[in-house]
Amino acid sequence: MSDELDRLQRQLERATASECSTDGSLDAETASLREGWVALGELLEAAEPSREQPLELREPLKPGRRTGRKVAGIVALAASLLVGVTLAGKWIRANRPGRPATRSDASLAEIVQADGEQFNPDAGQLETASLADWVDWDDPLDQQIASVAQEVVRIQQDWDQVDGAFGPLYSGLEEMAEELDESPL
Amino acid sequence: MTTDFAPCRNKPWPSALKTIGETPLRRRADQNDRFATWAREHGGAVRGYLMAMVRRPDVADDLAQEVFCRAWQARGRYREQGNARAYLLRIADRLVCDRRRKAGRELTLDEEAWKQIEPVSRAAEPSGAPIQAEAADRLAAALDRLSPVQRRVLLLRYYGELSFGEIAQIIDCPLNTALSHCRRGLIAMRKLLVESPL
Repeated sequence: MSDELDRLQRQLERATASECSTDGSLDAETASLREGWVALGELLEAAEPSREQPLELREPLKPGRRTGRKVAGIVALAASLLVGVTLAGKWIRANRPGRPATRSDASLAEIVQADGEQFNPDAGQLETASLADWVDWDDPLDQQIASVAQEVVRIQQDWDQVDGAFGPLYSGLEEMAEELDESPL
Repeated sequence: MTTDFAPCRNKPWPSALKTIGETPLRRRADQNDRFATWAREHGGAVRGYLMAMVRRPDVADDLAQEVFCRAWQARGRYREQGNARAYLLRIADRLVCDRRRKAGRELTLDEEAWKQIEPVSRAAEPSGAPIQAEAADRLAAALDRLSPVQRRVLLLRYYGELSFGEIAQIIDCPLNTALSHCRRGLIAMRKLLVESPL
C-alpha cells in the first residue's frame, strides 16, 4: 500500500513538474497525465498572464496593536466628550437667564405663615393674590404677566363681592314670586 | 559604597546601545524586508490562484490584499520554515473557502447556476485582449468540470509549486486523498482540453 502511494506520488510529481522533461523517460500513463497538466497550464497562462508579476500592496501595513491603540483613543475621546457635554448642559440649565429668582426656603415659610394669619375666608380673599408678594421676576415680560394675573384675581374678587350684595335682593324677589303663585287671586 | 546597579552603570555605552537597539527595531526592519520580498516574489502567484478560484479580478485583488494583511497581522506567530509561498497560499485558500461559505453557496453548482449567481466580470479586465477573454472563458468552462477539491489541488500545485504533502495539509486531507484528487483532475483536464477541446 505504501509502495503504491509512493509510486503514485512520484508519478504525479513528474507529471506536474514545472520543468518539462522531453527526454521520453515518462511512461505512457504519466505522459497522459502530463498532457492534461500542460494543457491546463497553457490555458491558465493565456487567461491570466500576470502570474509572476509582483503584487502592489494598496495600503501600508500597520501593526494591529497600533490600530487597537487608535481605537481605544477614539473611544476615550468620545467618552470624555459625552461627559463634558452632559456637564455643560446641566450647568447651562442651572444658570439659564430669565429663571425667576425665588427667595430662600426660610423666608418663604415666613411669608406663607404670615399670609395664613391674614387669611380671612369670610372676606373672600384669595391666597393666590399674595403670590406676587414673594416672587420677584427679573424679566419685564414675566413681571407684566404676573401683573395681569393679579388684575384677573382682583376682578374675580370684585365680582364675587357684587354678586354677594345682590344676593338678598334676588332671594326676596323669588319669595314674592312664589307667594304670588300660591295666592288664589 | 557599591550598589546592585553598579555593573549596569559601568557597562560601556556602545555595548549597552547595541543590546537595546538590536531587538525591536532590527526585528521590525527584518519583518518589513520579509514582507517586501514576499509581495515581490509571491504576490503574483497568490493573486493568480485567487483569480482562478473566484474568477473576478476585483475580488481577487481584494483577497490578495487581505492575504498579505492577515500575514502581516500574524507575523509575530510566523516561524520561518522555508516555504513562504505555501504559507501565503494557505491563507488565500482559507479566504476563498470562507468567502464561499459566507455567501451561502454550495460548491456543487453547475456552470449555468454559477454564472447566474456570480457572472465573470469583464469590467476590470484589460481592454483589447479578446484572446485573453476567450482563454478566460475556456478556463472557466474547464475548471467548472472539476470538483472543488480537484480544482484546489491542481491550482495549488500550479501556482504554489507545492509538494503534495503541503497541499494535503492546506486542504486538510490525507496525502493519498490529495494524490487521488490530483490524478482525477489531470485525467479530466486531458479529456476536456486535449481529447475534445472546447
